[in-house]
Amino acid sequence: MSDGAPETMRDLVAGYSLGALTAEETRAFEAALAISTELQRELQEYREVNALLALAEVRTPSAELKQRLRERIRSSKGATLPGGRALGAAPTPGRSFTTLVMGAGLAAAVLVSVALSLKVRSLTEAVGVRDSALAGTRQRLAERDATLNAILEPNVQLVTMVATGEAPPVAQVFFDPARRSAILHLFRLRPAAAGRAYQLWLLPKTGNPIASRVFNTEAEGHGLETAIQVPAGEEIAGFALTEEPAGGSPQPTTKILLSGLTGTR
Amino acid sequence: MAGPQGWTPFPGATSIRLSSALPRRLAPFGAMATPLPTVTESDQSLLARVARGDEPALERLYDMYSAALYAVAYRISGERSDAEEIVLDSFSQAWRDAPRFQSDRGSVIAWLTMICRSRALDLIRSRGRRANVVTKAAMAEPDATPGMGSAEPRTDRDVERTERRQIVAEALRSLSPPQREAVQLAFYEGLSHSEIAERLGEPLGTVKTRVRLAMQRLRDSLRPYYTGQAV
Repeated sequence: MSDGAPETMRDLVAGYSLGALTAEETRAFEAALAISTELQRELQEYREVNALLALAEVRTPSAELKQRLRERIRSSKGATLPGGRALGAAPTPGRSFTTLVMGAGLAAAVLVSVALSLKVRSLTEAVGVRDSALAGTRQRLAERDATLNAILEPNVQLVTMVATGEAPPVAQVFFDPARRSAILHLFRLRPAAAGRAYQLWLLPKTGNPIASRVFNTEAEGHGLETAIQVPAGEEIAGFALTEEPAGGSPQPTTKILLSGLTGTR
Repeated sequence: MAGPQGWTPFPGATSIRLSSALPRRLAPFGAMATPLPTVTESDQSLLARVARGDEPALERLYDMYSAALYAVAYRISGERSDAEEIVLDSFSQAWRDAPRFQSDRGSVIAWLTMICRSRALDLIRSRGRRANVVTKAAMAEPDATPGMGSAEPRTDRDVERTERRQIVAEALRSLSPPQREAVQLAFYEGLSHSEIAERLGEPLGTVKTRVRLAMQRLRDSLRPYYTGQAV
């Protein structure tokens, strides 16, 4: 490996586990990680190695740290008062006024505490919602990165399918013969009617069309179908699109809407 | 190119090819036959209790692992107060995130270590500073019996951990000095590849290879101690 040379994702696993990659490398790796169970498994192995490295050295923190953790946890729970046992102590006989004042003060403290706990809970929930939204955004970004990576594979062929009639939709198929997979990208194709769907067909050099992905487009006519598998052993000459019943068909039942041939390198 | 037989031929089909000069972004992945590490019942059980809001369970995990995490945090941050905050934040995050822990994805200590290192790296990178005070320690030969004390009483488990520390120290010693130095800078100081290259005055590619090969060797050496066993 040399500076600037392309690296495989597996080369990056150890560095990722250590946090040693650049932001760009991290982004690329996480995109690949999202779709590769092998990378996930390998990463977990390195995390176990890291854990063992961590256990190889110990250093005692201050004794107060555990109490600080306890207090922080209790404040996050919001329902437990530190030192609550003292709050429940019986009043001293003969000191009724003091007891009353203390009781009122304590009651106020309890109310404030409850109010604070409700506020903390509310904030915690808000943070949880934002964390969830952030996780969703990251997942979508990872999926898009993965799609982009697949499209940028050097041996990928782009097949553009053109309309047979007057309709203007356009479809692009990014077909990777080596990986036996394809990505279908559609523009201006109106969603199929209720009970109907679009179906992609793989066209072998010989024989009948092979049924592939059944899908529908979005309201504005856009569609993106990823990870379309191409059966091993079939030499694919092209792709076609028809409208079929919602569950798809074993063979085309309507005329071709779009079709295209694979390119030759 | 001949069209498929037995169906309507394509009208006006076109084809466009992408340039082969585009960078290769994904490489084929080889098979990884290594079984997933399993989780100790005690750790997993403790974390399950933590997920249900059981404070004593969290305290038990703290007793078991705070010293190791504090050592990591201290080596990376170089400041006691920072290291304590990192440990505090790590266990607080564990308290919050325990319900999301996936036991089939690894051990509890691996999860805690990942949290702790991430927080430590975030801290030092946000401040743009580095803990140079620990550089010499990172460069030193690992002790045969590392350890500066424990946060919990001596038990059979402690003895087991002490043995494991010796095994890890032995695994580190099995690396070449440049490999060991690179791993220690990456793991214990939290340096990135480029920072290590700068620190050592070595080419970036050399450092990346060195770290990767060292980690692979450690993984191979230590696999028996994390696969299917307690950590």
